[in-house]
Amino acid sequence: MKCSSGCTAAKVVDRYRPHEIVALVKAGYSEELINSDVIWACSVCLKCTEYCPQRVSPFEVVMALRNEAVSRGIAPPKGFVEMAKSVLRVGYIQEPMYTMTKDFEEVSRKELGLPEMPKPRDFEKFRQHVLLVGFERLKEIAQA
Amino acid sequence: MRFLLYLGCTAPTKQYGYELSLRSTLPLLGVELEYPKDMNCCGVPMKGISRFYPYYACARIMAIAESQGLDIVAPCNGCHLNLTETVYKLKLNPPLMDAVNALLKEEGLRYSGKAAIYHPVEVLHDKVGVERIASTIKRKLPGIPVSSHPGCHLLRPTEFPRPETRNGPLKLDRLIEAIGLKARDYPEKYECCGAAMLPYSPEAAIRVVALRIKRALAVGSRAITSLCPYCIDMLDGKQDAAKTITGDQSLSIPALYYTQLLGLALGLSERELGINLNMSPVEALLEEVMA
Amino acid sequence: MVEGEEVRIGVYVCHCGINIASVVDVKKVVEEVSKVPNVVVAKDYQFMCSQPGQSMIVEDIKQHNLNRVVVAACSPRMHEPTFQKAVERGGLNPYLFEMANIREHCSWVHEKEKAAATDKAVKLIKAAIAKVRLSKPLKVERVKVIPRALVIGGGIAGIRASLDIANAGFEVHLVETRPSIGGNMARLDKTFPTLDCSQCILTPLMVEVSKHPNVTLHTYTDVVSIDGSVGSFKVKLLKKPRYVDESKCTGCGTCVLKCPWTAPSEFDLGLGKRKAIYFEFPQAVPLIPVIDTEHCMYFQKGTCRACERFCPTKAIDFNQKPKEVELEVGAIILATGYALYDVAKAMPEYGYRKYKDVITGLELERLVSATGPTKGQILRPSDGKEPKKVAIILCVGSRDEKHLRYCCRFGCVAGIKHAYYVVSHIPDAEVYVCYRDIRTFGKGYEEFYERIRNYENVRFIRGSPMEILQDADGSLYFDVFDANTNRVVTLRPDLVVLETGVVPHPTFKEVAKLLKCAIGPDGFALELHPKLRPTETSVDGVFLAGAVQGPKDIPDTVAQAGAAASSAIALMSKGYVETVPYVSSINEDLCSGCGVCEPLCAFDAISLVEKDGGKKVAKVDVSKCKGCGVCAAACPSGAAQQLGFTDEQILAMVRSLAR
Repeated sequence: MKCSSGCTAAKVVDRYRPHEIVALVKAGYSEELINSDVIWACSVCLKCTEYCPQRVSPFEVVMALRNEAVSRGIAPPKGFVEMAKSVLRVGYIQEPMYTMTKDFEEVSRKELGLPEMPKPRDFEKFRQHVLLVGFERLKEIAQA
Repeated sequence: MRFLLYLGCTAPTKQYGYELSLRSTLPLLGVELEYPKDMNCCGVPMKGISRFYPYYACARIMAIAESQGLDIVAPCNGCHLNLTETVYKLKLNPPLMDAVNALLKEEGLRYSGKAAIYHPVEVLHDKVGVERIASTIKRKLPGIPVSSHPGCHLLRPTEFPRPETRNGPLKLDRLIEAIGLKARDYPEKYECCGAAMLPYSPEAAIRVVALRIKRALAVGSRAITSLCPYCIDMLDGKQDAAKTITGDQSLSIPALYYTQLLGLALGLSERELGINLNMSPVEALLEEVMA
Repeated sequence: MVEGEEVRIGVYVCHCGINIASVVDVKKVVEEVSKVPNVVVAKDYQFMCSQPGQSMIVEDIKQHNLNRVVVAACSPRMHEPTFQKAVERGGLNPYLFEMANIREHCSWVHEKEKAAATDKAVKLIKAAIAKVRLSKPLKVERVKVIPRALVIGGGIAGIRASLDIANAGFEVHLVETRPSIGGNMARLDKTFPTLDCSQCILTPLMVEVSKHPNVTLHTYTDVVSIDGSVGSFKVKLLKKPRYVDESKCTGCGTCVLKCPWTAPSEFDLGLGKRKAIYFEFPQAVPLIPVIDTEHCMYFQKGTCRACERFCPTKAIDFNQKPKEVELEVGAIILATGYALYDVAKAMPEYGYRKYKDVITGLELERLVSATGPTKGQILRPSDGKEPKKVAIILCVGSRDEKHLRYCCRFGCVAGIKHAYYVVSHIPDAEVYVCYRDIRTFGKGYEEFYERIRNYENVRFIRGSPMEILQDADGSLYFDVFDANTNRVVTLRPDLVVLETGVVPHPTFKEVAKLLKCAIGPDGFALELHPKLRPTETSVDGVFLAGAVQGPKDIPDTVAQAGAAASSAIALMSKGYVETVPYVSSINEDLCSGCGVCEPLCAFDAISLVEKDGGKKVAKVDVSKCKGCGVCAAACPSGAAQQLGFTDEQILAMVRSLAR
């Protein structure tokens, strides 16, 4: 239970306990977890993977549960859906934003003299591939 | 030294200070950056959507670098981890590599694993070297105590090589000292900034970063620095939110990219380094540094 | 058997209860093998290894005039000696016997394929028949056993084994690399579960072994080479110079008192200081100091010589040189013990050596010991203050697939004892024991655990911290998930005690290299059989005592030391050993003297010798040959043959199997 001692998320989300998630999966309660939003709390710090004395990676278990949820059409928290939609739209989890300088001046990449962000050359092909490697159900989730 | 600059998502969409400071400092140290014309997201925040997508996305990035005969510099910890992990996992899993290459073939690309992947901390510490930095800078910054926050993914997992190690001094700390600042140990320097929790619960994520800022202040650090756009987005950008959520008004510390501090030592202006975009209270520190 | 005599073979197929018979059709097997030429009788029986089974063989040899026997049963490792003895009782040379393993190699692995298993059993037996047909009687040689033993390692295991052997009337040489015997046990304050004073029960034995007329003590000495084999090992020791003449020194300690130079004390694990000339600890045996040349001003700069000036018996000898000692012994006992896992390097997340107030359990023993650096007070290293809150963490590095997979077998109870140390020295202290499981398997251990559990200020937390951090004010803190309360709690202890995992002492690796004895995957010595032959090694005449074989507490160490001693005593009292005749043999007519075999022999058993007329041939030293067969496999002319496994025999088996 070193994972739950050191887990970043466990310190701020009381019901998130990586050892418990692994134990529940082993005991056959995956269904419960797939339908719960708790699996989306992981902060991806990888401390559990690094220090587990049994070479279990609760992080990978959580990622597998998330993938399973998505493949069944269960919607992840909104932020994740937005990022995925953006990947399908522009190839990145978000588009360049306006930002504010200290003098309340709104600036964009262009105004800062930065070049345009490169996008996948054959975008349609890229998009097809992204859908193919696991985003198919997400399209439906996003549309719903 | 020429590298393909693969910025990822966070740096080029909102953390402009990182990109500006990288682009303005590295060439002064003999590092040329090539900007690609074809790129995509590395997939690190998408692992929960699809564990397979990052392999495709990263192999695609590396195939582009290969086609240009360049090694990659990936300034985001998440990208650096994901690219390194892809190289490691594809080497161990030939069927996975074939599957990825089958997709890339349709886009006229091929991944073989030839391109090396560097993080700016490696470029600066291992390639440029602290001696060259120390001898190139125009002015030595005063010995102000600064805490480094390398970020999780530069340290973990040790299953494959990571740029930083918990066993011994950090490269980032050596770089801090190379420009005259004082590296101040803070106990949670190996911890997580909480950024990846934002989509689940912004409040929880901000509580995480509040803990880090509190500890850094407690050890008497006058600033906190990192070379990860996620970490600085949290440490620099979420201080007001941290004050609101925790009610602790003391959570206020200058947070800057190391390349911004380096740029100041190299004689660059605030604007060239994008320091005017930082949200944390950097003014007093800047005055002291520039005095 | 007479050359050219008709070969008459008896074949016996064992049911092994139902182990074999439930899968292999033994009746059919008997029917098939009886058809093989030269097979005179073929029978099956429920338990061939039983008394009636063995008698069947003895009687058949006489009745049917058999001159070869094959038993198809279990592994030869299990019962070959049993059946060889039966064959011998029947009047045959025991090497005219062959075993076919139709249990491990057949019935156990082909449970679900009965017909195929039956077929395979027939094939295995036919191969054994093909081999035994070509067997020749082999002669067992007797080698004298030198009635003298070498014990390597002077901890409690080595001391106990030495005393047992010496008390049985045999000569013992006890070698210890440190200046004093006593080992890790000498560092302990109390021993669990009885809380006996460790020194009080150990020092009498240290004195006894040093005064025993049959024991020669070699302290501050390393083993540099070991040759020979069971019964007569030739051993070379290197006695490191103490720069003190042992024959003149009275152990008065004036030199130590007068020496102005200090260094960290090895015995106190760096927590305290010692002088440049020092006794390892006050009760050291022998009570003769040693000069640490690295910290001695005379050796470094050529000045000082205070010890020499003040020594009342003129015992200081700066010119002392390393001294070689040669010994011949019949048996060797390995008692090299354990060392602590290098947690500082392997687990930086625990901050050991980075934070002064993170210490190991063994270091706490030194703090609690009356002769330790704090004279028996528990004071934390950073500021010398008494800790009011102490965290004890179990399984640090142990039972961890990234570190040591095995259990250290004393950390739990040592941790419980350490909790007792704290509350008995500092009654108002709080102690937190962080554990994964509490393993109290030894006699009286669970009762001891219960006793300590009843202290109100000792709390057991079911969980391990991932890391230990240090705050701005120097205080330590860590989070630990407690499965009993389902809460992550933050502890801010004044002192953290790590119950670290254990590894074989580094000297073991050196000695194992000299002896070529087998090392297990965990780095400890590999015993011949984990249950039935736990004190024996892969090298005959070399026995194991204590933690060299695997982590052990004191009771287990002492018990095994006694067992190892009795094995050595049995060997020496018998006075001789019978050699295994499966050795290499060179046909000098065929040998071209090419020398291919010589460097391949791992046991230095082969040398090239010149024959009359100048021809060079390979010669096998039978006492060194272990019968590995490498030379026979490599020999291009077929001159080297392994007796009992000749090329002719192996090829006959292959041909039979390939048919």
